[in-house]
Amino acid sequence: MSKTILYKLLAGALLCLGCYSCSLDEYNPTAGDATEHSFNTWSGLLVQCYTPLYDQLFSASDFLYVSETGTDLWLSHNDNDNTKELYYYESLTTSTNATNKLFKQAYSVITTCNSIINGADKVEGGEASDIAEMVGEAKCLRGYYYLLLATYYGPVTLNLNAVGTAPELTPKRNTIGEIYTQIIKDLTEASAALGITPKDGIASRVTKKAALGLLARAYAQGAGEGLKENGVSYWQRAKEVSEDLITKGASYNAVLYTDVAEVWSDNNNRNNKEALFFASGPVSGESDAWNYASKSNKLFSFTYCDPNALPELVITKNKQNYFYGRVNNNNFAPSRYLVNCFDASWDKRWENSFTTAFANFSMVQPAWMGYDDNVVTLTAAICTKYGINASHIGEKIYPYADVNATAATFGGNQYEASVWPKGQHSGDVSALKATENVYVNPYPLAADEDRFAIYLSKDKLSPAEKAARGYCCINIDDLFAPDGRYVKTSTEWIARQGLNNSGFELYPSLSKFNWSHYGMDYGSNLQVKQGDMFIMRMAEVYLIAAEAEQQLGNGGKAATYLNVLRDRAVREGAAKHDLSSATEQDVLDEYARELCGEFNRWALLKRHHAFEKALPGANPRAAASFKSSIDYYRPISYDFLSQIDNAEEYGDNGYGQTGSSGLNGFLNK
Amino acid sequence: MDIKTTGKAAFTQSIFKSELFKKGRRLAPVLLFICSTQLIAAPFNPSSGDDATSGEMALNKTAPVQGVVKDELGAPLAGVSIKIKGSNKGVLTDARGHFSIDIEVGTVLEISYVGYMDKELTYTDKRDLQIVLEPFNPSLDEVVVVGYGTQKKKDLTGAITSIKSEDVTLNPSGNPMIALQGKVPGLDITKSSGKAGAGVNMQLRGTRSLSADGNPLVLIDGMPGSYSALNPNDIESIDILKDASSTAIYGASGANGVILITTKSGKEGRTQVSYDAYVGYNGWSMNPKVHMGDEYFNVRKLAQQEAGTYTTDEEVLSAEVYAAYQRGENIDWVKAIMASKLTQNHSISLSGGTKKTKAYFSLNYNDENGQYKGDAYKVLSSNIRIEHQVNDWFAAGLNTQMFYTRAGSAYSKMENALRSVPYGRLYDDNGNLNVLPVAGDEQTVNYLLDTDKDVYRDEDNNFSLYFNPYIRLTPLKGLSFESRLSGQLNYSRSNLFEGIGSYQYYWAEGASATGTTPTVAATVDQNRTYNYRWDNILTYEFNIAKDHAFKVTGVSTYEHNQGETTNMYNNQFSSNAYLWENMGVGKSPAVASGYSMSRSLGLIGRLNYSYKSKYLFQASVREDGSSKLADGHKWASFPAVSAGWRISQEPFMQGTKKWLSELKLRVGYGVSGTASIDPYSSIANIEAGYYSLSGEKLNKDNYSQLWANQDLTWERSYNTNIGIDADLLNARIRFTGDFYITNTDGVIWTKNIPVVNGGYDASTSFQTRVNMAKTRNTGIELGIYTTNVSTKKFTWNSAVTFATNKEKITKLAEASNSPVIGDDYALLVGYPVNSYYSYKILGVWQKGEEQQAALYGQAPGDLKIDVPNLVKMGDQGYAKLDANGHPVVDDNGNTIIYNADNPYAISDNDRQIIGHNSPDWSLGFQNTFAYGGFDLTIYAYMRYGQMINYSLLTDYDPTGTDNFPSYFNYWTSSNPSNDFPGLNASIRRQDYVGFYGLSYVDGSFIKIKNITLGYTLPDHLLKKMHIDKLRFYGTITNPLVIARSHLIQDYDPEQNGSLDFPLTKQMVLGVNLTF
Repeated sequence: MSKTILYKLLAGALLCLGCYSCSLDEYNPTAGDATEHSFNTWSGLLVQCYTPLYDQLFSASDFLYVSETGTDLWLSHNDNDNTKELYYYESLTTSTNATNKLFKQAYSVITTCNSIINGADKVEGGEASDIAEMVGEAKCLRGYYYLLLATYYGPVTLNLNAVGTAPELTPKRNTIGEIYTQIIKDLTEASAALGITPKDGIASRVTKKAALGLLARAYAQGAGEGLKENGVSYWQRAKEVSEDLITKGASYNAVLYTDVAEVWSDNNNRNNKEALFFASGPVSGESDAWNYASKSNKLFSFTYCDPNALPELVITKNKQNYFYGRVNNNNFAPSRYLVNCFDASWDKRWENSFTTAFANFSMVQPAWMGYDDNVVTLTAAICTKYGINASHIGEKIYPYADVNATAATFGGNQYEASVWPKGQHSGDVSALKATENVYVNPYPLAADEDRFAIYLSKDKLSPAEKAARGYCCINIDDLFAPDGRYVKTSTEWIARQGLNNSGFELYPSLSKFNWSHYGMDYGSNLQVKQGDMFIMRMAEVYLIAAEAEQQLGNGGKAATYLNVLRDRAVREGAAKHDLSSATEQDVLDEYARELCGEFNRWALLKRHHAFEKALPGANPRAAASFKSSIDYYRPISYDFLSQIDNAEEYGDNGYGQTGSSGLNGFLNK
Repeated sequence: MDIKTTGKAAFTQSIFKSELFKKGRRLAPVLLFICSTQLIAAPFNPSSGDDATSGEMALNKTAPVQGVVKDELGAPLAGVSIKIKGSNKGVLTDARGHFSIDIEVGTVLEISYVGYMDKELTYTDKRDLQIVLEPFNPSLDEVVVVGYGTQKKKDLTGAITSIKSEDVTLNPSGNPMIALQGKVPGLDITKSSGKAGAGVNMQLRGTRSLSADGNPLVLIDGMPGSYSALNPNDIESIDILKDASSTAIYGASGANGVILITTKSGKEGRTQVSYDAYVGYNGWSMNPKVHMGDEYFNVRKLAQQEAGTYTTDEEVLSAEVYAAYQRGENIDWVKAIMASKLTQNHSISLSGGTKKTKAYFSLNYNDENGQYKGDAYKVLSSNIRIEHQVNDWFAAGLNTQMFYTRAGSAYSKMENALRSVPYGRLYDDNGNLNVLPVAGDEQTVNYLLDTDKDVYRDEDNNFSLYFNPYIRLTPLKGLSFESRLSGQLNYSRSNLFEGIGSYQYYWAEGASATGTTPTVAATVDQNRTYNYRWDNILTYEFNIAKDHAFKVTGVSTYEHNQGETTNMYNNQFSSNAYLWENMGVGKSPAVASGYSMSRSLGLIGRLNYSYKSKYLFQASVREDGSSKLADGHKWASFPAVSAGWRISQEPFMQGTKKWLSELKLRVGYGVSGTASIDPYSSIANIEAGYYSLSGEKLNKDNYSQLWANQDLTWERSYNTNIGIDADLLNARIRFTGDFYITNTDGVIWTKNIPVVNGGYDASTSFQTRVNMAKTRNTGIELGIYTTNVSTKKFTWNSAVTFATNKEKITKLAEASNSPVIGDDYALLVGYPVNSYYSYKILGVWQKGEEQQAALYGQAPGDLKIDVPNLVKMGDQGYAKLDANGHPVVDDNGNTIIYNADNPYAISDNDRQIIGHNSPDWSLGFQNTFAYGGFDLTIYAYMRYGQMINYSLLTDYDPTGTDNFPSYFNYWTSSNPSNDFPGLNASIRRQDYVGFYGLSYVDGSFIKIKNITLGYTLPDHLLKKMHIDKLRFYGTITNPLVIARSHLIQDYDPEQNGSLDFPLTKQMVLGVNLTF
């Protein structure tokens, strides 16, 4: 064995090493070649900025709880402890789920907005006019998200930097004034840059009217913080912006329906004319776009009670309820204050907001459930249990609706209900009538109605009035304990109205998030309904105008704006109930009637510093726990505080996680 | 006579001889894949020495031959038996070690003496035989496989544990790693699932890394391979490299230890056939017992009574369920869904060859069935090794492994089943499954629906091929060059079908559903990986001045890994008959594909030096380059040094030789890395996708979740190891002990980026990987192996292994007093890595404690939670201290006082470290008895000090709606339990503050892992049958488990909290046959 062979081998081995030592690079075809400077990618980043709206904010219950509960409008079902942190300020901490999440949801795309805005001048390709308009979109969205943060969390961090490589781990707060100044700037610039019609005709993209509406809202909310702009009160600016939108509404394509029922018509849900800004729900049907939307909107299941709690009367379990949907989260019940806010004798916003009559349904059209199978015959036992006069024994309660099932390639079966006309018991589908909104029950419910099994009566019915009716009547007033809480136990319920049944499981059910329409179902997942959700609609602009005028001392002028909303709510045949002058309470009451459940109430009470006044009568548990020194700002996110290096400096808004609230010095105007 | 000189000479000689001895008899098969010192030695000294192991047959004549037998130090041995093989003739040596015997050339002598190795030699016409016996010392003469080479155990300087094939096959199992449990001090192995084919979890010397798993690097014959499907009967030995001085040679992937599996290779001579098989049953798991019959009803009734909502019995349950209860229809869900199933294994191997060509072939079939119908795992594997010696300097060979596995998964929801209402009927009168056990009660759908293969099927199959050709050159004395290539092909496919009539279908669509719906769906996921690796190993071994032995090793290793995935999904199939085999006919197809690659290059140098085999020294360095790291950080260096001192070889220790035959001190230090970086971690991306706005499909782009960290580099473990090996009383007692300190720096943490920097989406944080933390592990590992009794008929051997490890985070980049919170664990300086972070539950508030409870807004029946940093402030109440130890103040600077009027709200912020998942110590204890042909092995295993997250405990439902185990002792107004909070129909789990802290429980246990009883037929019988070995045995696995906590009953804590696949007891009967 010669040495030369050895050397050759060694040389060969070294050669081998030499030739592959240069190839330690990665190859990643899955990443594509996207850069944020290309117009297409830049445009795609803008689309990302819309995603929190329907993915989280307006489809999960968290934001609904943060923005509506803890106010005078809502109580927990059966006075239970579920979400007591938000309803009642009991054990509200930095780790409370909903407030913890909202902080992240609102912040999640702000830096992406920043990247779009800051990077606009480097974009390659695309028309300059498109780019300018899209920068306006990003500013409008950024303004909206910062307005959420400022409203609920007060002075937080104003970050205007693009998504970068070095994360800020020791963020600082900005003053409330700095944040509102930026919001106003963004929304003002957006309103100038945006068009009257949405980009590419996609209705849910923000337009000029969205920016202006949000600007009015931002001024009103900032006014509550005592802010001024160049010495001019924010109330004044709110008045100017809202009045501009009202007077020049047509030129902005900003419309108020003349009949409030149109607002809540299922046919008007998509592309609602009154919407200034809405969160776009998935559209079931034949477009695969459906695959790329978040299908998780279960809000109606939180606001509805389960009528099957009286199983002899509404016989279908919620899991198969193709009519109401799977109403299984039942928790979001109106306070007695809210119920009493409505004068249902003329104001049809009552039945357009709340379902109070509950019925059975058939599925004759798809031949899934026969008409007769859903007819309830009143027996002696049923009548005794539910307080129905014995004279009705043997009478029948017929289905109210018939639900069709229409297949959609994307989204599965779509369940659209139409109504069996009163007195029509044939079960013949040709008799069916379509409705604008099948959950708006006839009001008042006729005594001889035979299509509804349960009626929650707003007017207190006497035993004699009940005796005339062949269905279960529950006086809404009986659902409340004397102090205004909901009845909690069966013992309490029996004591309250004398009958041993589960009637106290029911409550007037907010129907604003329930739809029965092609394109809005998620197949047999009856827990999800996927209509579009209002973020802001024109009625709010009238309310802001009234609110600002009232705050500026013009009660009479304020009343004129409120009357527009009241007039379109007058029931056919009833008289108008116009106000001649409006007090602050009148404004708050009108907000309740018009916008209850629309992600608004907590912010409104905050800007009016009205919790202390509003809670005791309406929400006694909240009144007992509400701490004025803390509860005007929601707790800073626990997750966020855990992730930064300066949690003690940042503060938690006063909820005891950190040594102090961190607000001192940042509340200056 | 100068004893010293003679002793030395004899000693040197004996070493030399032993090498040759091994070469001929044991080493060759073990060392097939590596150039070894022994092979080089062959041409150096062809007919080797004076013990006449080789030679030719000479004249056939008988004459008295004189001889002397001495020990390795040259002292004569008296009473040594010298026997002529195949006869009864023999003599004993006299006091001077002398003997005389009549033999002819070619006669084979058998020399044996207690405490020394048996020896055979063939007489070759040498008048006076000088026979040297070596002490019987199996631990020292074993050859141990080390990184890119082998070493004798006595020359080792690192912490390495060797496991022989007998131990691997002792416990019948499809997975060889199960055999290592408790046998390798410091390697913590647990099996958490009884699913067919389930693997094990491994962690060496405690957790060092926050994100990387603890799995050691496993190499088969030096190359990557799949150990889980490897036939245990093919394994010759398993060597576990534990300290960094041994593993640093594996660089960036060596920190978790390295497991080197050596497979059997062909042996020269007659072809030997082995057949190993076992057949048995798998089942009899311990399953928690839940309320049955009246018990369940009574719990619900009591819950309503406690809540004040109870009215009548009829109202306790829904009408349908109550009716079923009244009819006495009970379901024992666990009994319904689980049963004992057959398990079997058949393995056949052929081994043989000529001087030049050797081959080994095996075929294995393993069929394991889990307790659920449809839970099955089948392996078909084959191992082929061929080596051909072309001439005296060139050899080539090929190792291949092939696996085909096929696994079926059941819809296995034991935990759901335990929670389900125990009423109803599973089958109708015709024996068909009822969709709803209780008609009208949609809350419980029959879990058995998915046992029908036509409506539900979940199958995986996997084909792997490892193809490792090599060449070996031995051109000069002491020089060897080996080049080996490893090609790996892996193709796996997972199929899932959920059809019309499945559990999922009725659960989603309702019991009356018909026809196809989006729930009717099929998924096909395919993965292909193509990896290759090329190793070049150059070894040069030489001596200087006889006493100085050197060995130099140089290695280059290049690896390319590449993977591709394709995924298909579709739904709304019109018929179940399509399964997943006609994906196009569904209505909503979705496809995806992915690609990933990485490359690495390692350059290694190592030097071994030994002075008279007494002072040992080793140094190595590996330069590792990886494509996963950013430019400028691609290369990292991993050095190691170690030294050994065989104290017993020193002259001053000769006096203790009688009872202390071997004593060695080992000291090592090295740096190794953890391969916890995924490909593309250093590249930033924008992800493209779609989003729907107003029903329009728009292009959507977003920043990828992981922010690139250009500075990211390997985690590095700096390990110091001090070890002692000792053999006492003629190796009747063998002891090995190691103490180590491992400091790991630059531990990678996937950090959530605070959301003011933006988020990946509305609910998910951006993340970045940072080299953030430092950890320290210190531990002691002991192994004691004893021969307690050794008589002709009866032997009793014991092996005890003990390991304790203390792990601690020593630095976090965060402010050190605030924990970094992960999913289940939290990180805090001073605590172990896998520390559970939750509410510390002290018990339940009892009656009489109303006042104290009111401070937290709580009442009797609520959980009593320890609130850290809540301090008493005089009579007025309590104050909370912030992270800096100052009382929390309001905006006016006044301390906030908590009392019954202003109760303290317990929140996530009051969670604390309550325990850790790694054990404080673990113990393995094996006893082997042999009597006549019988052998009995009992193996016990103990783990102490670990906390587990046992989710069953939070299945306790205070409303009584979900069923739960009947041993749960819950609080009621008349039962002051401290285990579970009050039963109350109007309080849900989540309404109890801290409820989910209930699941953390002490998981210490002791168990008998297995008992094996075997019988080997005696030689004389076998000879007649021309059989080399025939043994029958029976094994029972997991016969006994004792848990420490009273909250764990009918549960094996080794499962570490998981429940759906309980660990089974396995009983098998098996046979080992060799002919």
